Amino acid sequence: MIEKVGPSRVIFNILNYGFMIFFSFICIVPIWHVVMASVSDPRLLMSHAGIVWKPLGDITAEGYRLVLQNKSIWMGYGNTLIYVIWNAVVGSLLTVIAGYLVSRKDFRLKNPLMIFILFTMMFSGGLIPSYQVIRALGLINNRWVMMIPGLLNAFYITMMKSGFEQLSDSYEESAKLDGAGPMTIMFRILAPLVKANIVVIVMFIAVMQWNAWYPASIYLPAARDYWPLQLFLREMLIQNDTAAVVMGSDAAAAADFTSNLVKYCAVVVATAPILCIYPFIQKYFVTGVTLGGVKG
Amino acid sequence: MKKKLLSLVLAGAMASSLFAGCGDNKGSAGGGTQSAGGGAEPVDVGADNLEESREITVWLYKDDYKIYDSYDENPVVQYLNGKFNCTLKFQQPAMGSEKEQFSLMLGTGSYTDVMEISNCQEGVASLYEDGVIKDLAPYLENYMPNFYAFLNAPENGDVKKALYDGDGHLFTIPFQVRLQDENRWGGMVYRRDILETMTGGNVAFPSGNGEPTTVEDWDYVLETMKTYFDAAGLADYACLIIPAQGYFETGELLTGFGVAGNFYVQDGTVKYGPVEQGFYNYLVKMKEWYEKGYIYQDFASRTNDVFYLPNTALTYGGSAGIWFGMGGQLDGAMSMPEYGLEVNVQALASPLDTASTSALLAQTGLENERVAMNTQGYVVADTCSEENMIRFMSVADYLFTDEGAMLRSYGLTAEQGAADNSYYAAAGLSGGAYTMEGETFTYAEPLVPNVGALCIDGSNMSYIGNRLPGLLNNEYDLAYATESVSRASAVWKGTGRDNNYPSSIAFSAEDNDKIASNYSNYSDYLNTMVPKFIMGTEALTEESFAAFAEQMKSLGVSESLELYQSYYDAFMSE
Repeated sequence: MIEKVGPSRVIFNILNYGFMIFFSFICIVPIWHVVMASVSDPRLLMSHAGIVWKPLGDITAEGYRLVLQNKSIWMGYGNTLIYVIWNAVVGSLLTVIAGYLVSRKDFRLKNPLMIFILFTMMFSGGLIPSYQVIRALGLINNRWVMMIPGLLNAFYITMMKSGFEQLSDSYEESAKLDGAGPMTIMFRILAPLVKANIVVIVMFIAVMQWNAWYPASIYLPAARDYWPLQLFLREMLIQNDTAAVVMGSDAAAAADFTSNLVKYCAVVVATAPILCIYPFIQKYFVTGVTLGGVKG
Repeated sequence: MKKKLLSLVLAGAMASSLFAGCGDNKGSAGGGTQSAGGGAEPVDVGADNLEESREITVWLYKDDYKIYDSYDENPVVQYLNGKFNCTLKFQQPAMGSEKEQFSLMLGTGSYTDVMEISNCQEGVASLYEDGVIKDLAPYLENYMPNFYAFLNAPENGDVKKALYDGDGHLFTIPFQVRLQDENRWGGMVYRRDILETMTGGNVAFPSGNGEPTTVEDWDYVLETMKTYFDAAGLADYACLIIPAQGYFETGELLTGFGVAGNFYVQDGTVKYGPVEQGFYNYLVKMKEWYEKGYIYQDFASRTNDVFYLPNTALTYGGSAGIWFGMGGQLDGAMSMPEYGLEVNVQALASPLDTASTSALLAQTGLENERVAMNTQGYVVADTCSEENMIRFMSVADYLFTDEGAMLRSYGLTAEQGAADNSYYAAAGLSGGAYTMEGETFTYAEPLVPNVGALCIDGSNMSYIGNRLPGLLNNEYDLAYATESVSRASAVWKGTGRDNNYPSSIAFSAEDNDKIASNYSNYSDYLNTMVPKFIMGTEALTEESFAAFAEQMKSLGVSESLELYQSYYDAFMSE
């Protein structure tokens, strides 16, 4: 049977598709602008106003050459991968355990522990006390400062808790009847049922770690070898902003237009990997936060 | 009840977080006793034992060094480490985080031995009062004899005056005291080629001068430029670009109307430019130019442009006539022959408003002055050991000798072991950064300004010690400046800086706060009203300007003027 499509449905579809296309366009334009600018003639780029729809002048890879020949970029990539993988694996593992624990109805410390966790979400000691704690732990200029303090996130724990709570008690009861212990119940029975939640949390952690530069700028001031990619790129962007000042302060110096180009190339280099991974995990996002255990 | 209790606990936690991080204040610190009327009794804490190696931690902001990441590796630093049996260990935050990191260091009390303070948001007096830094004055005579002698030389009275406070304290070993004024790096520029094109090469200004000098000359230039751009059919162009706030705080254009963009001194009286009559005359002229279409119509919306790189789409695209430019843009540097753009950019002085004044105000906010400032340089933390302090003073003192100044400013010579330094060797500088034959200074080929390979790739500054304290010998560099830059610099420097408010006057922490608070009160009003006056959205008459000036004064200009005046009087009477 062919469903008849009424005029209101047609209008809705047009508006719906129109809005989505428009929305997608708005999201894509800045990325397109940066990509096109990154391969443009730097001198023409300097004298261009507005969005760059196509490369200006002859296409050049000079900006990418400058960015990629910087050895710090590769060191930053290596560090970022370490931090992303560590935090995604260990962080999400600990989040699953914490979420499972505070979702158990028969766990007597459930409420105090949850209040303790939520307290940290709402109240922060501030930068200076945090710094003093980190310093007292001997983590200043130490790689572990990027790998330990941020491992657990109160929001992700509550997300995980909600995921476990939506599962029917019958899963746990039947597993217990079959002789399963808590570890088996958690990892082999319940965790696979909240796989979507876990993937979303892994993705959140990975994206957050990929973009993180602030903790490193505070806690790793004298340990550039441990800096993540984003901090190097941020420095590169600032350098190339201030290059204009340097250019100015040296009155005789000729203008260096490539510094303008480098900004765009650095953004592309920093964004491309995470953009490539995103589509493969996107499908989990739709169901990730709301998925329950019992269907039908 | 439980909920109330919980709320109370949470509220308490929030309140207590307000006090988080409040450190203990060690109170006043610093060694030595102050003698009445300034100066300090010399303190002797024993000789510097150079046999004993010292590690001295130094906080310094970061530059783009090109060839290395940390200043630890700077060739001049390595040379000094060997010479003084020490290790200067630099702690450098990521670029862009300097101010935050410095505040964090102050907040947590984990100071390095020595700190470069240009990123400190507090005055040195306030740091001293808080027990963060030492007063170095009592140590100078014994541990920095060259610096002490330099300060007490009659010709360096200005430097001494700038560094000592009224109580005889000296906190800062200056960052770089120039032997001579630098060339100025930027100022107003104009497209001379447009005038040449429009007049067939017979440019004749109403004043009869070879360059535009009066308001009438500018009228002529701007009208000619507008005709040119209109004829070219450009959709977007600007005969004159002014900053979004409507005036240059550094004084460009304004000095032609006899006022500055900030505080300045005239006949011993401190004045604030935006409330003076000359500022009204300036606004009237800008309004007229705006109505005629000479000033960029959307200037007020360009709030993200820095004043020295305004609207690059127009300036670099060949669609601007007059703007704030830089030395690197002069002559044909902005031409794009492959796209048919041939320009000739020349420096331009402020337009003299002959109707109201007879000479440009001798004021500039940009010049790289010779005088040192106590807000730029190295301070020694109160937590630094005396041994480390006097070792650092020995190092810094050397950089105030002729030999040290040459090392700091021009780098290593062959005799100083240039060949042994890996960076020098790799850059082809094994014979040293320069040679001296008698009085003749010659740069090594890779370092010749403008043409040397290391200057072109921008790494030349990595071979010298320009971030260290000490004297900056710029005598030989100035000789290498191009003719066009020297000429432009002379135009931009104008009639000197006799009317400048002395930049070395240091306010007390309390007065500094008052001035900053006043500024935040009146600057918003000022920066809102000036564009409105120029664009005609606010009526501009003698009466409305008088009301504006009164409002500015009531918002804090009057109080700041009194403070500026009292400090100026005290400074002049010292």
